[in-house]
Amino acid sequence: MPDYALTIEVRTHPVGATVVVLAGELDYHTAPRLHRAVERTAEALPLVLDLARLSFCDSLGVAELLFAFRRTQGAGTALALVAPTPDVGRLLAMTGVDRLLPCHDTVDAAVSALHRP
Amino acid sequence: MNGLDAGPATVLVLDDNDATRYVVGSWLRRSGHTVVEAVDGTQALALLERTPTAELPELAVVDISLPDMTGFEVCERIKEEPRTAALPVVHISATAIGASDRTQGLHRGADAYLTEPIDPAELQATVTAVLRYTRARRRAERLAARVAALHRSTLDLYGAADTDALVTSAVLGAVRLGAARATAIALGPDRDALHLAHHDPDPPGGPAVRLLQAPPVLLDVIAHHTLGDATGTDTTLLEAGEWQDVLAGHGLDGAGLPTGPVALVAARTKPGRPLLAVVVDRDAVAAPDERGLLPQLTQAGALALEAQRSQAEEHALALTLQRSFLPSRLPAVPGVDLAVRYEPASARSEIGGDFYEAIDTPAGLLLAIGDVAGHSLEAAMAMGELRHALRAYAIEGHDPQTLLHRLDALLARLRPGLTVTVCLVLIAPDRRSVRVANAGHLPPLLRLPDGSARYLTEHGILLGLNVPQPPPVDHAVAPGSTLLLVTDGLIEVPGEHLQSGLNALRDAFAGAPPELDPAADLLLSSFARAQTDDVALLLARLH
Repeated sequence: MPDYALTIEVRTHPVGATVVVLAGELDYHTAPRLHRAVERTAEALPLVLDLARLSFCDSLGVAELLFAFRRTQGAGTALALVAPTPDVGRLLAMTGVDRLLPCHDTVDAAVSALHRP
Repeated sequence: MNGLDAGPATVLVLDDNDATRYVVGSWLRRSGHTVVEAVDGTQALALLERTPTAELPELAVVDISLPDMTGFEVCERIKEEPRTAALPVVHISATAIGASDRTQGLHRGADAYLTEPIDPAELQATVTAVLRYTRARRRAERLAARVAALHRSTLDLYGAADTDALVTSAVLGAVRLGAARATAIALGPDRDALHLAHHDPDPPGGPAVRLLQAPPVLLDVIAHHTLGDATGTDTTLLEAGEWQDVLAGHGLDGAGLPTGPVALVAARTKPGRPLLAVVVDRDAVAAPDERGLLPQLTQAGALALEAQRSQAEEHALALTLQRSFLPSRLPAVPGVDLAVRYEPASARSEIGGDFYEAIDTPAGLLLAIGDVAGHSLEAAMAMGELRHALRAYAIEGHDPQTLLHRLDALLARLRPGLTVTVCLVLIAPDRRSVRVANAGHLPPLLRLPDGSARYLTEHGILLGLNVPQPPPVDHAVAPGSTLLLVTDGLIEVPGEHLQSGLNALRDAFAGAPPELDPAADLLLSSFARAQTDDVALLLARLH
């Protein structure tokens, strides 16, 4: 029986960014929940996706990361990823998405990079 | 007053005074109750402890002043023990005592308080009143538990993956609703067999649920006894003989199903649909509550069956559509042998957007494999569109990089928001080199004649984002080399690392037989076991 568990925690960073912390598995079963969570974030703020505790991601998960990317592009802000595990990082590299979505080691580093002019 | 709540009961009479015990006991016996007696607290509690739960008294009449402990304490200990917590206690006291003692007794858990001299009519009325409300409460509690059981069973029914799981959930549901044994019957998805599940406590140690099959015509006989062509639910009581005739007519005599009088509950959701039936012993529906809940369970089963059926129909339709989008045959070209496998995701999942293609073009034989993100009709439609567009562009003779740019532009315009991974491999006309352009797809594997295998890893970003692709990369290939292109359903398993999946696939490919068909079958059987996604696999051997 696959484990459908993905926890999504959304908070606002004091410097001015929405931080979405993902833990668990992002796949066919859980991707729609990330979609809704991203849709509910404030469009005016840049978006940080913390992937440090995301253990699995499939092609539908990548599609949702790209949905978040396009949404921030459309709103004139930006998206950054934080600390993907080696395995998730490998998928991002394989799909070429790593060239589009900048990765940082920590949430603070991601937020300050997003605010750099 | 409900007649059910006024019947005789077993009453425990606890009094150290032989005369009082005798008098109270005989009054209760005269009203039809069964009386068990105890002379002190210790004896009474021991008696309750060794009595099986089903045979516990329904009421205790407890004297306040006992030699070993007070009646209050006995009452408290009865209420503390979970098995007897619901046993109502009526205190009696030999002496006229003040209101504070009565209050104490009631505060400490007693249900009524009588003072001697006891009036037989008052005792009678008190016992009747206490029995009435404890029995009503017990019925309400049991009903609440059964409604909760019905709810849980309904969830199980909707979670059932196939007809066998559904009839199994239905019988277990009937057992939770109080039936000692039950049989559920539903028509399978292909309409060629009835699926039966039977739960029976006899013989002990036997399987909890047995699965059987019967000819579909049995359902018509059940319909004849119950709903006919109507929709809704119906409960019919059948005599033992009538039920045995039903069983014997359809090869089910001797199948171990109950042969006594039964209640046959049937439900049908829509006109023209097969019904679902639940059969229980007739006494299981004697109580009015059970009579109401069992049809609800059966109705839930019929609705779940209907949902299962329409899902199966939708899946079959989508699958047909998806197959119609894939090439019906591969080109026969000199110098290259081809083999392909396509495995849809399990029947319960939606369809995916995996595709493959092989096109003979002026620039060489173009192989393609791709995956549209998503499991939906939209993904399958997009896959069909892309494949046809790829054919059209490829026949015009574009190189792989341009093909990817064209597909990217097309996708961004036609299906904004959708992303697709595509890997193109162009095999040169002389079969001595391959040109790889990979838009974010799993890298192709190349096996050399010496049996070593490696991934051709250079790649660009997946399609749908309107981002330029890097130039394609050429690789020289020796005669006897084999290419393997796959989709991620083959190696993506939650909880397993992508890299270890890639390594395992490479090693298995290196060790696979040189002939394409056995190699394809081996790879599918070793990797597509736990697959929840589509799998497409394309093998090309170069001479």
